[in-house]
Amino acid sequence: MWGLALFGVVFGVATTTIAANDPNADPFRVTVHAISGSLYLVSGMLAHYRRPANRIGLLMLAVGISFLSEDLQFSPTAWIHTLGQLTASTSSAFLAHLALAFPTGRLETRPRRALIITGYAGVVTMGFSTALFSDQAAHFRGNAPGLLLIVDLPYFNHAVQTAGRFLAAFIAAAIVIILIRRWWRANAVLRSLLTPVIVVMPATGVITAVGLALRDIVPTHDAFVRAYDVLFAALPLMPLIWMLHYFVGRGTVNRLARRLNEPLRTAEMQDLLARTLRDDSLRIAFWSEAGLVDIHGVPLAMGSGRPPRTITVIGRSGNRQAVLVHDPLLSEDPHVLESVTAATGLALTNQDLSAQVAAQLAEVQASRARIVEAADAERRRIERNLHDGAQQRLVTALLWANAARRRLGQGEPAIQEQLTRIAAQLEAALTDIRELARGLHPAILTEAGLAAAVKEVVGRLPPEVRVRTEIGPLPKLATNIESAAYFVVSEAVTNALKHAHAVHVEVAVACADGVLSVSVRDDGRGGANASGGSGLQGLLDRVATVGGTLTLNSPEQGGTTIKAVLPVDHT
Amino acid sequence: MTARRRLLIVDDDPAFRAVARELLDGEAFHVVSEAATGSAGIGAANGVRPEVVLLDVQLPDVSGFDVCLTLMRSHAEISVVLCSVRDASDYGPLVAECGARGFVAKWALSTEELIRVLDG
Repeated sequence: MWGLALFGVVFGVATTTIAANDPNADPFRVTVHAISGSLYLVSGMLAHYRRPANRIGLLMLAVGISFLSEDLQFSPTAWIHTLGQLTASTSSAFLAHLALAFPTGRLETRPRRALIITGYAGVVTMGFSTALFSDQAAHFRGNAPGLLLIVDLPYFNHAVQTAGRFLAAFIAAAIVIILIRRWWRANAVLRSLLTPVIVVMPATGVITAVGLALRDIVPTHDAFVRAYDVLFAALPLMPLIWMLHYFVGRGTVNRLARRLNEPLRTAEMQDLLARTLRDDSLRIAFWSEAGLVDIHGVPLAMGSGRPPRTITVIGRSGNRQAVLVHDPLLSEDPHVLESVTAATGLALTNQDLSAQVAAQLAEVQASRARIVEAADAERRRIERNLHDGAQQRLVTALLWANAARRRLGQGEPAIQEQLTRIAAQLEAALTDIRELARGLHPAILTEAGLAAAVKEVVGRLPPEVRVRTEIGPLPKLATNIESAAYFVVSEAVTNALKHAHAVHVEVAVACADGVLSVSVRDDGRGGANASGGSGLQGLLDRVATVGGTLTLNSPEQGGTTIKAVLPVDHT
Repeated sequence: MTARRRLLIVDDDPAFRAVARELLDGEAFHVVSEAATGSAGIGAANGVRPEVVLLDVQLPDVSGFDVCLTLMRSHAEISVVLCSVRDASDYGPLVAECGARGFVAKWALSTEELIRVLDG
């Protein structure tokens, strides 16, 4: 292909030189011809670079080379002149082929193929008619005689050429109709590709048809021919503009990549892709046991293949993340499609990673809540076991010792003494266990609820500490919420007394709008922080575990406020 | 000397009932019956007409507070004294709210303590 392109360039220089040296040459026509041919060559190369698998680039090169080859007729060298005669009209056939094959490079229906084959047959016939039956040297000054000339039959050749031109006019008109119909029926993707062609191709087609038909009817048609030449030269600009449009499209792809970097839901991503690629029917799909499913998990109906769909895999082999189901025409620009799928793949990976992190975080939070809940339940169980078991038995033993002392009355002072010692030990053991049980879990919380438990905590403060307690009406609360609130009050009141040496403490517990707020304010030393080993870190963790927040305000100048906000419906 | 007061002991632990009877049955109290559950306690109260009920807070069927409320509705003349291995402070306002005469921690149980709570 690139060899052909190089040949085209060298060929163009040669033919232009030949044309320029022709004594009959019209400088305007030579210039326009050279520019026109070059534009086709350049467009062909660009099209091939952009879409190597597509035949459009090759067709453009063919149009360019065949167009330039028309100038070979002006060569004084016989064989070159003859070659020029044979190829004189071939550019029209290649151009017709290009118009109908755009943008896929394929002629998609049998009538279209027949039309183009007829066109090629026509131009070959016209070329051979001139070469075999027209003595150009006799008609044009300075032209070389044709090598294939059999006999000069000017009327016959004229008839063949005229018939050929009418055939060309017919083909041009058919192409115009086909293109307009295609454009009319096209979806958004195809329409955007066809629009530049639809504007110029039919215009040129009409001019070609009218121009060819009128060529011999209107004797002075110089202006007409010039307009035709200029328009013909402008034709390859259309695919060029179209390709430039795709270079702009790269900007769009870059913008798309930037947008895909933002956190998007898959549905938004799909809309964005559909808009960017102008394919309303574009879908992102995923693999599942049921085959391909859309973003809502609904199996994708690929159906009858109408409209035709193409699947492009997102992600590398071995790590197929998803697919894009789209219009096959999008595959015509592999560069854009590759960029889009790569950007989408990255976005999906990001989305997947974010979802994984979020899921892991949620799992960690849930497991932390379960661990705390399990630990709390275990502490409650141990407290209950101590109460029902060891405490009960020790109490009974103590009472039996007391009963024995009572029965002894004033007698047996030594045994009395021993029984008293037994009772004292049992009482001490009971006190120890009571303290242990209270540390494990406050029985009052289970027995009487949060309000009573808070009052009990406050009631344990020494009389010199002034306390103000406000407890609003509380609904039935979940055990973990009650525990968290209780430990906040208990810890804060203990800190106020032990560390801050407060003389005034205010405790408030209220429930409103689905949240339980607990606050403890004191006038103590201040400067408390969670890292000070004051048990505040444990409180922070415990409150966070049930989905609440704990705030600590403890300026160095004095005073501490601890406030917890806990969700009431948290289970 | 005052007449012995008729006492009903309601507790699910037979060992505690035995030692309570040993401790309390004497000049001041006459243990007329024992019950191991709340409902049995209410039944016994209806049958033996005790003057005093020593009622454990933690019973297998209903809580001692509920038993006390029921007894107060049907036999307001009965004095109910709640008892538990726990302290009164562990129950907050519940003891006062259920209409009981008072509370005795089990480890402190004695005739003198019961009299003090009843007559105190």
